[in-house]
Amino acid sequence: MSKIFEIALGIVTSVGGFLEVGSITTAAQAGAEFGFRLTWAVVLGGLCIIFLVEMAGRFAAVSKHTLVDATRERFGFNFFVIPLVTITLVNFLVLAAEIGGVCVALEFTTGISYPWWAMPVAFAAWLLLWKGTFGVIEKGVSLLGLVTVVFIVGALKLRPSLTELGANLLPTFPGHDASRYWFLAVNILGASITPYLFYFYSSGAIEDQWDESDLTVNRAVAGLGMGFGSTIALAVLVIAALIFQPQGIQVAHYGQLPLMLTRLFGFWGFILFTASLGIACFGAVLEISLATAYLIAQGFGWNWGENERPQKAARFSLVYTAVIFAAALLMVIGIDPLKLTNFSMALTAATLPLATVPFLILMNDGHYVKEHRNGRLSNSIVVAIITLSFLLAVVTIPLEILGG
Amino acid sequence: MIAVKTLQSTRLRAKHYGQSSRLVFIAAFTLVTGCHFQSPTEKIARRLKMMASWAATAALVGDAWMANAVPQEYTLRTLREARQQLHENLKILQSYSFPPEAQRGRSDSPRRLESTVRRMIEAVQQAESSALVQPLHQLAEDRGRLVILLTQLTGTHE
Amino acid sequence: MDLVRDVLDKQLLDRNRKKMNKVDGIVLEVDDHQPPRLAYLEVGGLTLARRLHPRLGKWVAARREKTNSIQTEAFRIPWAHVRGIGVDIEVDLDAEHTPVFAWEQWLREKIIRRIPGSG
Repeated sequence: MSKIFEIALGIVTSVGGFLEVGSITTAAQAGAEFGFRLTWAVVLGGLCIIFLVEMAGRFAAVSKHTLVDATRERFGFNFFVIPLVTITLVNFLVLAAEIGGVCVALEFTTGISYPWWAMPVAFAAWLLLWKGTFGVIEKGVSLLGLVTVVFIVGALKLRPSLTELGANLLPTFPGHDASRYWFLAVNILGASITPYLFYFYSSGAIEDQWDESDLTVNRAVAGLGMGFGSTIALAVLVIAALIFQPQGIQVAHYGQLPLMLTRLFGFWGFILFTASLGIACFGAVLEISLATAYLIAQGFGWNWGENERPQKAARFSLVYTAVIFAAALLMVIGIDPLKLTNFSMALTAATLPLATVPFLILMNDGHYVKEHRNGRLSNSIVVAIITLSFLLAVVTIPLEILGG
Repeated sequence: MIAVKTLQSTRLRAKHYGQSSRLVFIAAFTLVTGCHFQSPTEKIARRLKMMASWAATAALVGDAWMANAVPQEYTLRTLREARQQLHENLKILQSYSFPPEAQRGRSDSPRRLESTVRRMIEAVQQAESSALVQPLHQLAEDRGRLVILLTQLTGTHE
Repeated sequence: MDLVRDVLDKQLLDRNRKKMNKVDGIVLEVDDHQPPRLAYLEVGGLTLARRLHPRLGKWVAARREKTNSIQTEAFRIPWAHVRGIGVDIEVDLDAEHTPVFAWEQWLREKIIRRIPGSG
């Protein structure tokens, strides 16, 4: 019975992890500009992260190492410094975009422009990390994150053609705007497959002291949690496709986003959209800050842990503090949250191999995972999707910069 | 005493780009770009599409405001952004030299959009729901004309 | 025992099982008539800088000298202090009494302690 409860809780927390400013925005843009044509990207991204998150949990439970620890041990510091620097940088930009998401949600509700909210939001997130424990944070924010179910309700209300959705499970070549189409595909993949998520997850598994008996729970949580999260992203795409596209609305500004739910639910639609955006992004702010602190602290072997009081993990606490307030500065100076989101998602896709290739090697190393090595299926699927993301990113980012 | 400076474990080699990888890149590039470089007509159509998008946004938010579904401040912000975008896109549009087949793009509708939205902003500022009805009608008319224009220009129905 | 695989970049634990950074470097002692002997484990940013590039190491060392920093030389742990090698490397020292924790302590006393809710 308690296993079922644990699974349910895990699913809830994972939903929060999946949905954030990137997945909401990119799904809305994709639906508005290309209807259902990018369904496959959401599905592929979701599939990939399910595998990666399950692997991250399995790795931590069996090897009793976090991913970061093992990466440095196995590949040496000179290699490790490359993903360390790159991922920290990408995390930083994504974090700024997430803070932007919360600020935008607050702008919608209060009318006060988003740069003013950057420091208060950073402070609130920092306070929660400073005083809270890992469990409380995860569960609290994620339970609130269930408000995002409104997107699924909305999508169902619109009665999308399931056959049409199914037809788009495989990539189709667009008749127009090819480079934009593939750029959005890259964005969606980068929004779904975020390295901070599996670094966070593997550290969480250690904080929660998982072991081999937790492997089934891990599998259920990864599959159902991330699966549910990507279903919500798909719902956003469907809503945008059925409400924005017929009107010819392209999402070029964050202010256009709430309109997808006002048509369906009136004022409640506005409230629920704003709450969904704000809560989902706030959860992401906490996760990314912690993930970055985990990355740096574990990389250098410092004492770390959200469950520890800050005095017991001074350097660790300093990292997440510095990272939150520094990222907030990007919003204070008024960088456009939507543009930053698109850019950071594309950058994530482009740098995916740096995080995932060492990860995959570790997942096949019996020294760490003993007999729980990756099967051929897991390896092939992840390699295929990562390669696709990387190739697309490398080609489309320069084009978008040139054409945009 | 000699200190061993670097003891390296397995170093992941950087990818070596061989012949086949280069071919893959070229193929991917061609696939994705297709005809990326746009003709003048395509450029005009792109601007018109943007303007149509913002006009539709203004209409949607206007409707929502009249139905009391969205707050005042949000409505004003969104309408102001719409007006700004319409203004900028119009300027860019007017700077293009219109080839003969795209002469129709020089209609009045794009120009009217900005002034219509300005009237909407005033109406919302004064919290006068009824004052929004006429601009919304005008917007719908101009949007319709824009759609016909776009269909003629691009030869496809978006 | 493979030094690179089993010792280098491994997590260090002190006698209270507290995390004590990682093994950033290994120092071997070479005598004319004997095989090389493992002499010390090295810990610290200076060692890491040297590993990345010798010039970087020199630059870090020079900067530390100039600023009278807390750590001017790499901290070395004599091999005799190593108690066990497993998932982590356990040493018979107290982290609080080593320069490894210099920054941790400085942060704790000067900054973190002053912020409410930190203890």
